[in-house]
Amino acid sequence: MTRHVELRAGAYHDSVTLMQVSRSVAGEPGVTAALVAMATDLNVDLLAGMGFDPPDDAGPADLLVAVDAADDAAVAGALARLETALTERSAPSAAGFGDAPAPRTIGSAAAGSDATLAFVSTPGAYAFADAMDALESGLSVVVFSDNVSVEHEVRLKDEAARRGLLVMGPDCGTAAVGGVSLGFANVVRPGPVGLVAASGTGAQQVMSLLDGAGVGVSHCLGVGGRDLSSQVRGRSTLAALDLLAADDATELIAVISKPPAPEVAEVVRAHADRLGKPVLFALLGPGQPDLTAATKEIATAAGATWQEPRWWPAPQERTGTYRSVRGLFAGGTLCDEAMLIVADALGEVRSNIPLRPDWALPDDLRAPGHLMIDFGDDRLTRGRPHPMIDGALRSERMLAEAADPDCGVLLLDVVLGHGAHPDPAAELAPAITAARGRAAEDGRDVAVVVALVGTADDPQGVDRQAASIRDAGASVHLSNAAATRKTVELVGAPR
Amino acid sequence: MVAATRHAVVVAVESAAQDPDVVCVSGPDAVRLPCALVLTTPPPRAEVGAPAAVGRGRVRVGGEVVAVARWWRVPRPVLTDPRAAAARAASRPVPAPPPDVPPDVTDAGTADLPTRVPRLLGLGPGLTPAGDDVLAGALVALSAAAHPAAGRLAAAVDAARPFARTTTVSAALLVHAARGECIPPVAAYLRALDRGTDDLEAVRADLLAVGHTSGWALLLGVHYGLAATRTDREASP
Amino acid sequence: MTSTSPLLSEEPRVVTAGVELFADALAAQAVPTTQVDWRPPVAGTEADLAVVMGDPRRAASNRTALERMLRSTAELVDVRPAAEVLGLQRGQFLHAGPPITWERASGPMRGALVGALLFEGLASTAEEAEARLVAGDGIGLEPCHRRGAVGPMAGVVSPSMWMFELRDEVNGGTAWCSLNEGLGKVLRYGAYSAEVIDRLRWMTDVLGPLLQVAVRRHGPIDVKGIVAQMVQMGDEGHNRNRAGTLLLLRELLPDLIESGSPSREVAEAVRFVSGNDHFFLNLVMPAGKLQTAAAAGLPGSTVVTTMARNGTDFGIQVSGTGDQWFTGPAQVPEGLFLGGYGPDDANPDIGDSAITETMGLGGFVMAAAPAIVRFVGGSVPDALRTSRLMYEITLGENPAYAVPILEFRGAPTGIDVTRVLRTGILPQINTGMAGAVAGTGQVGAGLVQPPMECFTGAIAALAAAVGDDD
Repeated sequence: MTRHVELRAGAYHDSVTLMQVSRSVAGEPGVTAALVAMATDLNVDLLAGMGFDPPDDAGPADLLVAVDAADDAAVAGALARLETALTERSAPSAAGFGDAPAPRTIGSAAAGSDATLAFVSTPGAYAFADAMDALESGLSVVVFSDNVSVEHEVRLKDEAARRGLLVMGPDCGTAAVGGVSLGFANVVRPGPVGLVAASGTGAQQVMSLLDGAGVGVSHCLGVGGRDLSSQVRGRSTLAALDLLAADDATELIAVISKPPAPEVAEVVRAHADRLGKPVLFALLGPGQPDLTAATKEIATAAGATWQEPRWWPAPQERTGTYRSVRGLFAGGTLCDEAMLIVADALGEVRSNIPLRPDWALPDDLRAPGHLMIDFGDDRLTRGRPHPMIDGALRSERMLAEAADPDCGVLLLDVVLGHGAHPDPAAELAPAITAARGRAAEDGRDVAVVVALVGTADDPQGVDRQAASIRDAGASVHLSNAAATRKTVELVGAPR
Repeated sequence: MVAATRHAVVVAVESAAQDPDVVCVSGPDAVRLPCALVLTTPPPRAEVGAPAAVGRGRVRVGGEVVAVARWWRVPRPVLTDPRAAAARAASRPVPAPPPDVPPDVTDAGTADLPTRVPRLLGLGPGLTPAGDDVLAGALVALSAAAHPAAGRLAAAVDAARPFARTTTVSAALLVHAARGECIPPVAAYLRALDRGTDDLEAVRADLLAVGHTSGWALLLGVHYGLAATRTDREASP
Repeated sequence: MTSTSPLLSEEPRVVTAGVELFADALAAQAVPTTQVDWRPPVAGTEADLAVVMGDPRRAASNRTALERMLRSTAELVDVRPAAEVLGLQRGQFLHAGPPITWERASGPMRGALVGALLFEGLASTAEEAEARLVAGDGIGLEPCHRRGAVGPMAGVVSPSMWMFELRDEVNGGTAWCSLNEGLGKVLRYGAYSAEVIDRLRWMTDVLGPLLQVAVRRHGPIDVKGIVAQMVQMGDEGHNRNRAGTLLLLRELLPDLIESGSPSREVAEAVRFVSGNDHFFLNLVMPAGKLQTAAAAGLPGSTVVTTMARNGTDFGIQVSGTGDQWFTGPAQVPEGLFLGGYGPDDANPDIGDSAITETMGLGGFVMAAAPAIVRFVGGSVPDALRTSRLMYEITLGENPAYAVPILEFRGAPTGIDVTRVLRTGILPQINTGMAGAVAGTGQVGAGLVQPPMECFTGAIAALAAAVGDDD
C-alpha cells in the first residue's frame, strides 16, 4: 500500500468540480481511495477519517490531494489522471497581449457586461458578500447557497428593496426567469402562470405538472425557504408578487410554500388582493391540498382542461400487503408532501425532517416502521454534491433498505431539468435492480415506486427516463402525490 | 423551406386543411420574430425549396437538427393605461418615411384601416412588406389596449387571405400580431409609451432601426392603433 | 408603485459565481453568461468581511470617496522651505512610511537621518549624528503623512529643505514634497557622503529659490494635466517620470530664464533637472497625496488612502478608519539589480512613493510604460496583465489618466480593502531598491506588494467601527 498526501496552495476549485475529479481519480486502476478537495476543516476531518495524516497549516484556499493506492505506479497514475482532470477544467490562459483576466468578483463581472441577474452558489460563509456585491452592482440575485444567516438574509432583502431589485434565496434551488432555468429547473413552455416559490422541488413539481397539462409558465421566482417566516416577513415574496403583477406575460400568479407564519400570511394575502391579477396559494401542510391538487386548481383557473398526470405501472403489477414505506428523497418538499400523505393514511413517519419533533430519526438515520429521508437536507449535503447531481449516497441506502426485512416499499423521487444529473435513470435503474435482487436473496419482494418530476423538453427527456426506470421494475408517476398514494395502497390499511 | 437570409431560414409546415405553420430558424443577430427558433450560431445554410422537417421537439433543416434548450418568451405587451399611451404617441409625430415605401402605405395612418386592408396587404418590397408591417403594428397596439377594434381589424386581415396575398413569413407574423405577439422592439416601445419612461426616445430609435422599412411601418401602425383607441373612447361614453 | 425592472422584461444575461455546473447549465441554454473566477477570501476574514459588506454606510461613502478622488486637481503653486510651510523646528525630521523609532529603523532610513543631521549642522560627523539619534537628544521623528507631506524612499525632510507646494482647489487641500536629488548616491537612498550633503546645500541655496521665483512668475502649474500627458507618453509616474520631467521643464523654462538670476545658475538648475529623469516624481507624489487625502475620513468607507513604507514596516491608512495605520513587515522587492548588487544587498521596501499606486498610477498603469517593464524584471504581457488585474481591486477608473494600450481605459482608482481580501489580489507596486547598509544608495528596482496583514488588520478595524455613529 502506498499513500500520497499533498497540499497545493492557492489552487481553488468548487466542490462539485472536485467531487467529479475525485471520482475520476478514484477510478484509476490500483487506487483504493482518493480525496481531492479544498482543505476546509470538514475535508481535513474527512481525510483523517480515511486514515490519512492531515497536513499542517491547511486552509480552505489550499487544494488537498490524498491517494491510497496499491503501489507507487498506481499513485503516479492517479496523479497523472488528476492533472488531466484539473487542466480540462481550468480555462485556457491567454498569452501575449491576450484577453483581460477573468473577473474575480461579481461587481467586476457586472461592470464589464450588460447582465440583468447574478447567480451565487459560493459556500455559505462567503455568499452574503457576493450577493451584496451583486445588489450594489444593480443586479437582482439568485442565492443558491445555503447556510446564510437569517440576519444576513434580511439585510440582503432590505438592500434589494431599496434598490428595486429582487433577492431569490438564500437556499433557492429553483428559479426560472423568462424561460431560463437557474439552478435546478425544468424546461417549460411559455404561458400565463407566474410562480412565486419558497420551495425548490415544490416549484419543480408544479411547473412540470402545469407543462404536462398544457399550461405554460411565464416565470418562476424563488424566494428562499425562510421568506415567509416571521423573521423575514415575506420580503421577497411581496417584491416577486409586484414584479409578476407588472409583467405583461403573467396573467395568473401562484404562491408555492409551506404554510407561512400567520401574521405573514395576512400581509401576503392583503398584498395579493391589491395586485389586480388573481393569486392562488399552494400551501403544503396538514389539511391542505397536495401539490398535484393545487396544480389542478391553477391549471383550471388558467382555462385548461385537467387530466390526471401520466404514470407508468411497474412491469409486474403488485398487490398484497407490503410492510413499511421507506422514502428516500432528493427533494425536501417532495419528501414533506409524501410524509403528509403517508402520515395521514398510516400514522407515524420517522424522518430527518420530521413532521413532528418526536418523529425525528436518530443520528444514524435508522428506525423501524415508516421512514423518510431527505438527502438534500443541509446536514447530509455538507462536503458532498446535492443528491440531484449525485445519487451515490441514496443508492447505498437503497441496498441497505433492501436487506431490512421491515422494508416493504421504496419510494423515490427523480428530478429532471437543467442543473440535475444528466441521466439519473442510468444511475438509479441499476440501483433499483440491485436492491430488488438483494431482497430476492432473502426471498422477499421490495416494491419500488418513483415520483418523476420532469417535462418532455427537459434535457434528460421525461419519457426516456420513465421507460428505463420502469424497466428496472418500478412504477413511475409524474405526480409525487400519486406516487405516494400508490405506496400507501401497496402497504394497505394501518396494521 | 420558404425563405433564407444571412440571419435566418424560414420553414413552413404545409397542411392541406389550414394555413401553414411557420418557424423561423434564426441566428443570434436576427430580429427576434414571434415565430423564431433562436440559435447561438448562424442558421444552417439551405436553399429555398429544400426539404425541412418539424416535429417531436425538433426541426431538421439543411442537414442539421435543432432541439429545444429553452423556450424564450414572445413579448405580448399589455397597456395598463391606453389613454395615456395614446396621448404620448400623439405628441410624437411619426417621422418621414424611408424611401421605397409606397404612397398607399405612407398615408395609411389617416385612413380607416380595416377598409384599407386589401390595398395594404403585401404592399412594398422585402420579406415583410411595409403594408403588412403597418397592419401588424396596429393589430399589436389594439390588442395591447384590449380594444374591440382589434378583433375587427384581425377579421379584415384574415378575410383578405394573407397566405395567398403576401410572403409566407409576413402572413405568419400577421397571425401572431392578431394574438398581440410582436418583436421585442415593438413591445418595448408600447411599454415605454404606457409608462412614460425616460428611455422613450431611445426605445423609439431602436424600433425605427429595425429592418429597411419595417421599423418605420410598425411604428406607423402602432400610432394608428393607439389613435383609434382614442377616437373610439371619446366617441362612446 | 412597481418599477419596470429589466429582470422579467429582458432576455436574462447572467453573472455566476460558485459552482461551475450551473454556469455550464446556463451555457447549455444559450444564455449569455459571465462566470466569475471565484476564490475564497483571505482565510479568517470572512466574518469581518460580512460585517463590513453589510455596513449600510459603505456603498455611499465609497462612492463619495471615488468622486472626490476623480475630481481632485493638483496645481504647483509655490516652492518654499520646510520650516516655513510645515512648521518644522530645528531637530524635527519627517520620514517616509508609518511611525518608526531609531531602534527599529533600517539602514537607509538611518543613513538618511544621519545625513539630515549633518546637513542641518546638528552634528559634524556621522558618528556624532548617530550618537544623537540613538540618544534621541533633541531629535523628533514623525511621518511625512502626518503633516500632509510625502517623501520618496527614506523620505527624510529637515527644516532647511525646500518643498513643492501643491493645491487641490476643488477639494480644498494642500500637499508638499521635497525636491528630487537625482539618482546614485543620494540622501533618500540613505547615502550621506560629502557630495550628498553638498548637493543638498546647493538645492537649498540655489535650486529652491530659483524654482520659487519661476513658479511665482508663471502662476499655478497644472500638475494633473502633466500627469495625464505623461501616462500617454510612456511614463507610469513611479519608476518612469521622463516625459513628466521634460513637460515640467518646458513649462518653467521661460520663467527660469526671465527670473533675473545669473544665467550660470539657471543653466546649472536646468542641467540638473533635465539630467534627472525622476525629478517629476516629487510632483506626482503630492498630486497623489491631494487625490487620496480628499477621500480620507469618510465613515464606513473601505478605500485605501495611504500606502507607505519606512524600510521596516509597510503601512496603509483607510478612509473609514482615519489616521490609524495598519502595518506589516515590509517585503524585499523582486527585480533587477544595478552593477554587482544582488538580493542580499537590498533593503526591504521603503518610501512614500507608493502613493502613486494609491492614486492609480505606478504599478497600476504599468501597461502604459512598456519601456521599463524589463527594468523591474517583467515583460510586456506581465505589465498588461498586472494593470488589468488592478481593476479587480479598485472602485473605479480615472478618465483623466487614460492608458492608450488598454483602449484608453482610465487608471484603476480607489483600492478597496474588501476587494483585496475577497480576491486575494494585492496592489502591485513598482519601486526602487535601496541598499540595506546605510550610505550605499540605490541597488536596483523591482516589483513589490504590501503584506496581507495590512488589509486583514484594516478589515478588523473597519468591522469594529460598524455601528459607530460618527
